[in-house]
Amino acid sequence: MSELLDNIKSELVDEETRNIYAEDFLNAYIATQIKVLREERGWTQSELAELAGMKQERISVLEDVNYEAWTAKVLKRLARALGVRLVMRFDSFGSYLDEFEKFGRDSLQVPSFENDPVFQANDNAEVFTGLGSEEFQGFVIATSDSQSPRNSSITVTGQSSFVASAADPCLENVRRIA
Amino acid sequence: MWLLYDYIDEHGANIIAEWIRRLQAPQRKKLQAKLNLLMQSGPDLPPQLLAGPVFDHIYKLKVQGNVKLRPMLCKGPLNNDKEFTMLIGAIEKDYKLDPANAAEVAAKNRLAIIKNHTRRCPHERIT
Repeated sequence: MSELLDNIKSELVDEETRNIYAEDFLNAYIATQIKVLREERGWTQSELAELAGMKQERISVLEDVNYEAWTAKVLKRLARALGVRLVMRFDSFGSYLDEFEKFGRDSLQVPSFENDPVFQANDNAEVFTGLGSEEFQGFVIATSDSQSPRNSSITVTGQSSFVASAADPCLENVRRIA
Repeated sequence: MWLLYDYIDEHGANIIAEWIRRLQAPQRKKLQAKLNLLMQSGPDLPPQLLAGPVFDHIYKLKVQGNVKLRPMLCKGPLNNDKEFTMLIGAIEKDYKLDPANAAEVAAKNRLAIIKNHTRRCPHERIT
């Protein structure tokens, strides 16, 4: 853990501090992710505004780490325009530290539905959904590197990226469920 | 990760820490939250975190609240790629800075650090 994170962790013991830190980070996260997702798509503020049925000035206001008056209704409109789903949930202060440490362009980027690898058409890919195993929860794409998948190595990507052998019992589980 | 420093005046006083101590507790915490973000992600990713340059190499950190904090800082000035130095505390009221010449003083303080590298110290966290 970095010195900065150590300092923040010790300061979170104070209730007022942790609430202010968490609320400030939430505002910064929302503003920054709107900007990152817009740029990821190569859009101007005006283009995003048009798709979301807003004015460019509104997007400019939303892309400000100091703005705190956003609403779920507005964020849902932006989510639709950006082709992503909006997730809202309560979480622990412990998870704040992890999110803060990972805060960066890479962690904020999210593909639109059209570019989501789970839904990409691929002759060499098989998509498994609705998996019951905890290890395979989420959407998974398995791509074989030969015409005989049972004997090939298979790269599995998705929310949890890993490499599995075709003979791996976990993969058998995936296939069975699928 | 960016490093953060505080300016030290000619008498050896950390005027940034002194300014922060005079703020109310919630203001101090809001300020530190923004400084945390600046240290973690640098100046380019979080939109509108910094304004400027508002003067010669001087940026303004924006912290909203019942008192609008506007401390002045610069990149470096010894390593512009991974350091910031807070140069003077300021607030904004009715779209005017207090002190009014905060940016000019900040520029002067920046030059003092360039001439004498001991005129700064690691940022003192005060929440």
